[in-house]
Amino acid sequence: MTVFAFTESIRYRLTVASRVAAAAVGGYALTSALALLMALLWPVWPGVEGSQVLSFAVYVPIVLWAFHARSVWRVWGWLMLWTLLASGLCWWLLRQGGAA
Amino acid sequence: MKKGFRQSMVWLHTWAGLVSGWVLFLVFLTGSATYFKDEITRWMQPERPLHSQVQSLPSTTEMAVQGLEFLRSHADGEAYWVIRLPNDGSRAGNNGSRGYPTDLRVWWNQGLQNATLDPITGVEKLPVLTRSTEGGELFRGLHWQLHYIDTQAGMYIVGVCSLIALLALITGVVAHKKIFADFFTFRLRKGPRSWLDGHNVVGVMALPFFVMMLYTGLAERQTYLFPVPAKLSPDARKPVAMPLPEASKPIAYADIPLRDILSKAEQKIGAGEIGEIAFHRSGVYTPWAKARSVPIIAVSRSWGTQLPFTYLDSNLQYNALTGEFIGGSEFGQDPRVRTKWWMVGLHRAWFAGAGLRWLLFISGLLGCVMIATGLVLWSVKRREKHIQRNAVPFGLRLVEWLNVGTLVGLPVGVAAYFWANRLLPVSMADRADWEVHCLFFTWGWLLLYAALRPIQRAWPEMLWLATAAFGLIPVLNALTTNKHLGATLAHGDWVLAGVDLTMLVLAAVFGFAAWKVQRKQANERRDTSVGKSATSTEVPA
Repeated sequence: MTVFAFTESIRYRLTVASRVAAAAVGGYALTSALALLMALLWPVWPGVEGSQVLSFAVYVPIVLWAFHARSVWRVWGWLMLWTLLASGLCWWLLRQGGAA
Repeated sequence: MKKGFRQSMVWLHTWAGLVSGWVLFLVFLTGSATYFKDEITRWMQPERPLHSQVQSLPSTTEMAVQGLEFLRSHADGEAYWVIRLPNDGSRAGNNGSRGYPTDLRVWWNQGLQNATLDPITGVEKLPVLTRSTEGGELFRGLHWQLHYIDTQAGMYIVGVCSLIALLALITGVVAHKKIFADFFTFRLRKGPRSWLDGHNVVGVMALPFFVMMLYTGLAERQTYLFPVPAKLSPDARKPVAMPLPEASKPIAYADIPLRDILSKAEQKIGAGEIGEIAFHRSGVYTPWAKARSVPIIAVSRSWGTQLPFTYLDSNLQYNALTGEFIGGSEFGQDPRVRTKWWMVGLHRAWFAGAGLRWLLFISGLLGCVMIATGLVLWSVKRREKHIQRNAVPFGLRLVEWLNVGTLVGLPVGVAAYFWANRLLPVSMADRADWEVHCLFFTWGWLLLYAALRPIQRAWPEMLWLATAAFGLIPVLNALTTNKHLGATLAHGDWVLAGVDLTMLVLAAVFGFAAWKVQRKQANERRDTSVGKSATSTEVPA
């Protein structure tokens, strides 16, 4: 029984650590990708500086969601998906800009 | 992760607050002090004369001509001169002179050499020899870069903690169910409930200020915290073309139509508004101004007279040969960077006069109280759970130790910094560094003391120590200098008197806290001895 309780506690702590990592690293990656996307789509305003200023306003809701979502797997999943989509769009836009 | 949104936010609020709390306490404390950094610096240099009635200054043009005469006789070959005109100290002023009249100063040799001139005669004045001290600038450095560690690392630590603090603030608001009703709720003597009410009231009182300060503070460092857009977008990757025309020989002083240019500038920005006159006698090549190959006279305002308050704002450039107006500086004007500079100006309150700065200072200290009540609330709540048990979890003991050691220890350290300023020998080597060491040594010793004393004893003892540390500063001032309250109040030097008086107010605050804690503990002891439960905090009327 105590062994089970111990593993449960370890599992809980790993879940928390995973969420923190997801919010910190994954959330940061998504925010950066979205900020870059904003800067590429609207270079005059918000542009590079503006999208950096807005990054914080984007990051906070992402972190709040990461700690509220039902399971850690969902958090990682959605973060990776959206980061991939945003980065892909950025990469395509950068290629376009370079060619032109 | 928990059942409801509010519960998840409470969990996040607690942990974000715990992780960033002590660092943020330091940041809010030093940030509040930074609003008065120039005043503190002046207090820490008691050799400087008292603020006396400002003698009526001659006109802008006459003073500029005095400066020019001096530069011509001392630095004729130089291509770059600057003349900074004096002001009466009511403005933020150029470089550390708020609340104190500034002098007429000139710079040459790429700004490395300067001289202070008498505004009427143009003769060089010798600067007053003051004791070596960092003054209020220490607080500014501590506020965003910490100390003793690499400045970049310190900046990142403060930046990350501020981001976590922003999270704590937002989750705090989200978790607060009855935010309007609770504003009028303050239940005294109910243990953790009272701490929660205190935390809520203080948190809500200056909430817009906290959100603004955290956000604008982060915005200042945005390029470091979120570098991706700047690094990867095509704008940023294009190299900036810097044309470098041939530097021509500096034009002669006599050829510059100075009076003409100054009168035109005053027409544009208003009489008496000119703060600084720069002479680029062979052209301008600085990164922030458009490169120009003609000799330029650049006229600008005093810092702090107009948002976005970049010190090159409304920098008017005139052709030095013909006196023709060429254009203004572009620094801070580009709509893309303007937002950021507005935020920097807001955060540093460049626009604020004395009254508004006092308000911001008090709001900053309210931030410290909000953080302190939050941290104490956490430990009080956990304590209640363990009141019967002998084995107290390590986490709780750690938090209680850090609480008393930092929430009281750091302010006492700041008081020690002021004590050191008055007590360290003036001729001591590295004196400025040792004043700062005294701050940290005191804090360190108090952390050690807090680790060795039972927490119940440590709180009142350290609070009384803080009371004495702050309250005796005016006395120490009177014993060691001639700029004590007796002299400063008599001469109406409100800046210096203000520092002493603020120490007394802080002492009163700590004294009140010490008295309350002592009374509460005495009541608890009395209740325990007559057989009542030790957790009861009800005091008979």
